[in-house]
Amino acid sequence: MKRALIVGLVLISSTALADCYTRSNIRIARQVIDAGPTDVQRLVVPDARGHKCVVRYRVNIGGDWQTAEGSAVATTEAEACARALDITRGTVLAEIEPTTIRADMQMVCSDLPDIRVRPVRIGETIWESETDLHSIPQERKYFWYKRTKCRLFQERDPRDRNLIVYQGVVCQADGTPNSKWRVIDKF
Amino acid sequence: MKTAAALVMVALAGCANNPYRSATYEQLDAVKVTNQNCNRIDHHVTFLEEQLRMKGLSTAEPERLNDADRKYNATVRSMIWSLRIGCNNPDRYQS
Repeated sequence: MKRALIVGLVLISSTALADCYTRSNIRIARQVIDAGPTDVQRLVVPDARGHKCVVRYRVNIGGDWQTAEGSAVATTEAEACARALDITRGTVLAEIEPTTIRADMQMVCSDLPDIRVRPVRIGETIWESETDLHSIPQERKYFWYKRTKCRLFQERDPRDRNLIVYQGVVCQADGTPNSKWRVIDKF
Repeated sequence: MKTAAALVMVALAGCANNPYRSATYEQLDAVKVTNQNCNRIDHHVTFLEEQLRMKGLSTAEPERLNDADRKYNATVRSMIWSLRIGCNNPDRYQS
């Protein structure tokens, strides 16, 4: 009985932590993408035809980071995931308000980290899309510093009826293509 | 940062000869940075870092600073990153 209760509590807590989206019909290929795809998380499962790869990633559309999803099946895992990451296959996942859930909605829930823009501190290791792009398009480009790929970011801090806009620099934490990023400076 | 493709720090040239002299916000804010002096980037960055150190801003968290220090800190660090970015990424600001 005690064990069942513990298992039940674990299930409840993991369900509560899961973040849910609905699959929208917004095709990424039809949007103007300002940055990404980045912060790729993937799930590979066996399939009758080989491997099915589902990727969740972040793209910046019109200045806002959006979570998107793509999937593909192929004989090899690498091929399936490469195809799944093809943005022409991707659709935006829309966040849902609990009050707006309808019976006909197709919901996507997972325990993958829910990535969203938030205040960051110097020295923190973060997902790239936890910081906003710079408001000046020319400053959004990646640059190289000490052989590391970096970019400027902006952070808005509404305080005492004022809006303080910080700038900062994030650089890839290691050389791998989908590594996390480190906050190098903020000012 | 856009105008700071990289840098001639004309206004700071005199100050840089004396690393112990503190530059005011107004002096630093008036500095024009262009791409003509990247060969002295280390010298300029060292000078700017020294300005931060003298103000006690070397490891500043911007959220904890008062308005004056935040402006000073942002101005100096913007100049430092303008040097680093502009000098190491020459194609960045070319259209």
